[in-house]
Formats: sequence, structure tokens, C-alpha cells
Amino acid sequence: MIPVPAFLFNPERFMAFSRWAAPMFGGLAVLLALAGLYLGFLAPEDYQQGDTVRIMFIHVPAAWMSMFVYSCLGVASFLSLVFRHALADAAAQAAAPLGAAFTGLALITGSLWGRPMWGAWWVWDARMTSVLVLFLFYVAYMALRAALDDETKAARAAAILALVGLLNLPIVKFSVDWWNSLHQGASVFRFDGPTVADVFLYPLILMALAYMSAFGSLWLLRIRGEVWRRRADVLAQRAARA
Amino acid sequence: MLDFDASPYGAYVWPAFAITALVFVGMIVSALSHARHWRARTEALRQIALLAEAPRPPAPPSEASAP
Repeated sequence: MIPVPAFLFNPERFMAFSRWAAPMFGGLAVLLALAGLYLGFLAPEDYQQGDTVRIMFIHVPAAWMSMFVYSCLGVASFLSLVFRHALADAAAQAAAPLGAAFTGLALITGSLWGRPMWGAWWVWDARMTSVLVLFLFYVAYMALRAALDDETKAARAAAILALVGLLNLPIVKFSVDWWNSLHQGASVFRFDGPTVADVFLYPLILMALAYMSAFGSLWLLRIRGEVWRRRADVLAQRAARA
Repeated sequence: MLDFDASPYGAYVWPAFAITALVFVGMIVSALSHARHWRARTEALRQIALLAEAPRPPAPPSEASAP
């Protein structure tokens, strides 16, 4: 058993941990974002893309987070489905709106970047279409949970849907290699090293870390809210029986 | 030197940053309000449960039984 998840499987320990970890990650996100934005606006214009290259610092981390958050949703759903662990289910439920927000952000900022560079707000190329499908999986997950009154059944059905949606992640990742796309291929996570110039790479990495820390903080906060909600439900049911 | 002059692409660059800021503010407000709401609700229900379980104080003596 991995020590950290095992430690966090206990709701009381999770609440004690997240009480200080959520604000700590939030503070870290602010510092990293300030540093990333500073370096981002210090960087020169790109020789081809001009100032639109600065959209990269907010668009690319959002796109990375859209996939990372879905991976978290998938793992939490798997743990919830197999081990019936309430905290894993709360983690999955808490991740979905954040993932949808990051994916929506990636689509909107991508559109704002695409218009001046490609001459179109939207094209049905493989990368954009698969990211739109990812967004729809997030929305479907949340809609399914909200649609069923029985919370146990809703959690199970939504977990299965989340696991099915995992199949879309490699399609998003490798879509630029498998099909012709307006998007460029991978330029940061490559075996032979990044092809992005350092003046753009450093702010990009700082902003990605800022997004990651912000997600960590908000995820913990939302899981805490979910734990409180479930405790309130139990207390309300007890009060109704008394 | 910081370069805030995004011309001729300002119409695309600044809305992208503004929307990003809005989405982050929305995520923060939503997460905080969700957690605070349910924490307050749980505390209130816990207080009600404690009051219901607490032993009732003895009734004050009535005037008829008073010496």
C-alpha cells in the first residue's frame, strides 16, 4: 500500500492534513503565478506569433491540468468503485467541477489564441475535438451524479462513466501524432528534451506549477466541503429518526 | 522590462487573461462557499443533536409543593 493515500484514507486524518495543506498550496500557487507572470511578461515577443505567445502561459497549463485532473478523477473513481471508499468518492466528486473549469479554460483560451494565428475560432481537428469530448465527460459525470437521487447508485454509475472516459486521455495526448492537426506536436515533454526556448519554457513551467498548486488547494477544499456535507446528511437523518 | 503592449493582438491576449482570472475567482469562491456552507450546517446540526441528547434539568418546584 502506498503510504500517503493509506494515511489519507482516514477521514479524520484527511481533515487534519487538509486543514493546513489547502491554504499552504493556495499560497504557493499565488507565489508561483506571480513569478510565472513576471517572467512571462518579461519574455520577448515570439518572432512568428508576436504577443499572442503569452496566451501559451495560461492556455497550455490549463490543457495539461484538464488531463491531469481527469486522471485524478479516474483513479479516485476506481478506488471508490473497487474499495467502496467514501473519501475516494468524495475526491472524485470534488475533482469534476475543477476539471471541467480547467478544460473549459483550455478551450476558450485556445480559441482566443487560434483566431489570430490560424484565422479561425474553432476547427474540428483531432486535438480540439478530443478535448471537447473530455469536457463533455466532465459535464456528463456531474449531470449523472445530480440526476440520481440514490447517492450510492449515482456514485457507482458516475465512477463507471469516469473510467470509460479515461480511454479518451491517450487520444487527447497522441491526437497530434496520430492525425493531421493544426496543433504542433509535443514540445515540452519529449525524450530528447524540450524544444521551447528557455525564455518561454521557464514561465510556462512556473505557471504549470501554479495551476497544479491551485488545483491541490481547491481540490482539498472541495473534498473538505464534501466531507462536511456527508456529515450533515448523516446528522439530519439521525435528527429525522429521533 | 515588462512588456504589457500586446498590440496588435491585445483584443485576444487580454480577454484570455481576464477569462482565466474570472475562472480562477469562480473556482475559489465556489470551493470556499461550498465548504463554509456545509461546515456551518454540520455544526448547527451537531448542536441540535447535543441539545436533544442532553439530560433535561429537573423541573422547578411548583408553588403548590413549596413550603
